[in-house]
Amino acid sequence: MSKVYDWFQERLEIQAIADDITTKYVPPHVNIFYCLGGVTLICFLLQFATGFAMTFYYRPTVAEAFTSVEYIMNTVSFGWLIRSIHRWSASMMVLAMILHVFRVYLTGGFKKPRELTWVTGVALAGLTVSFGVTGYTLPWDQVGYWAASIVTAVPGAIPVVGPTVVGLLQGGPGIGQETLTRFYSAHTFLLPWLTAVFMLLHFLMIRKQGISGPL
Amino acid sequence: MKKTFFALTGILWLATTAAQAFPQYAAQYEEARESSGRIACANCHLGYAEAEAEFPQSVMPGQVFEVEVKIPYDIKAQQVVGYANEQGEYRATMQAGAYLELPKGFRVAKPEELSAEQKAKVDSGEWAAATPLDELAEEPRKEIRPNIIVVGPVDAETVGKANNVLVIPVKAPDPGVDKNIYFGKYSVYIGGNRGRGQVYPDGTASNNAQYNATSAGTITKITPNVPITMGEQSYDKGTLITLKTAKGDLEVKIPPGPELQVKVGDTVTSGQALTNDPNVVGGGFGQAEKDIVLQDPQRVVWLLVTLAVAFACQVLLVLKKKQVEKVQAYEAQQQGLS
Repeated sequence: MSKVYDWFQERLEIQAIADDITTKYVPPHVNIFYCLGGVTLICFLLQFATGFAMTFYYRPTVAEAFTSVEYIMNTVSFGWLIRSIHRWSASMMVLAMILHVFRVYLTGGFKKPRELTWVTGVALAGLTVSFGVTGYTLPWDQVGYWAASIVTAVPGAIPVVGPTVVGLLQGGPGIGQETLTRFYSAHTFLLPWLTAVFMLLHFLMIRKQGISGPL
Repeated sequence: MKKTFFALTGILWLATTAAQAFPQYAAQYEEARESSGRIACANCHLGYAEAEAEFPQSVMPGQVFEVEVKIPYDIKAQQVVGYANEQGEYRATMQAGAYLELPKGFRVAKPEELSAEQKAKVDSGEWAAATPLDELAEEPRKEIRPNIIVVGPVDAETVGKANNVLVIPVKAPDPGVDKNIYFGKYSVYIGGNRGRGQVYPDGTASNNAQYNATSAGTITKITPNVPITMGEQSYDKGTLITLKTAKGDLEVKIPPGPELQVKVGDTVTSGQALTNDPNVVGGGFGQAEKDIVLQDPQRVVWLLVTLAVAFACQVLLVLKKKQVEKVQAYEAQQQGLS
């Protein structure tokens, strides 16, 4: 083959990777519902790309958040498209994820030896919902504000540690700039990294064990 | 039509100004809503009382809709006022007023844009006239912002008839006509007030406030029924309290309204209340913030297009798969596998 291919093959044995990908056997019991996990991943990639683009214009301050979102929607070239994709794809991701959970549950895909894949999946579900909650608040409009105010107050019901957890989430005695800062930081730094780690584990285990058997 | 309408409101306005309620004071501020979010009314109306508003969550371009500002209070309650009535009492029922800051492009609907039913309510005075705040400024403003609106003062009788709701008919802008207007979500700021304030913009306390000793001392004399002047306000029947302090005698002016709580011979500390707080319980100013969406009716069409495209994609995918399966079956047959 070409010289470039030979150069890489000599050093990295890329043929092995190519073989591994192209020779994967798809068993006959696999149907369209086995795509839902992949759909969730595609949604995540869309979220990653559009979210990254929006960090250029979004300002995480209580005074400017709402107007910066307005700016993205009305002034930035194709900003409306990027943000609308982010917004809709977020809902689609949660939907695809829930359907994926149904598929895995109904086909028994969580059973031995795949328990750990299920556990990492549950962690990913928690992270996805956290993405949703933090992202919902970022425009700092009325629904976002009150959503944050309700969600961060929920752990207050836990005995002993409740108030501490609420303080950690809100960053102060109430909802305010500190809460927005924390949510922004979580939405754009903490949650993406955690998701990347758990996704890697999830996929490595799937690659290792292959797709679950027929019913 | 519009001119007569405003002329009429103007006359009504003058007639009611004597009854002490002053959105004109708010018009003295170039930005009646400060960057902190506080509406200027709160600078003088120190008492807090609830105010909320109701309007559609989303409106279509050009739509005329009603904003209802709810100002709960007892319409029979008597408050202290700055002038005496025929019986010589400084008392009257409380009036109400509303502040409404709409997104850019929104404005009060013109009479010809209203339905017959709505128009009847405006003409009968059931819906008090809403005026752009800038029009009330003493020095004419360069620009009248039609989206910043005040209503009032509205007398207690009218407020009571409408169940403590001030209704403002509003017309939404059309982004198709005005290129500076965009579809989307915007903030609406609402203020609702009832009763008189405690201070005037020049800093003078009104007679609807509690009066305190300006210095520690002993009260040596109380002179009732003397004319007093405080800032720009004069009262016929004020009270003078003479206070003997370490630095000599001091006179404290008490306007009619608040009731004295001290007598001659009392020793007071600095800041101690000399009168009660005459402000009616439940009187005061409150503000709220809500969102409104200027909705593009075209989005439904785009949703249908998207769904149709998605559906067509799926159908084509299934058809393609069926085709591939046929080819596979044929190839298997050729190789004698089945």
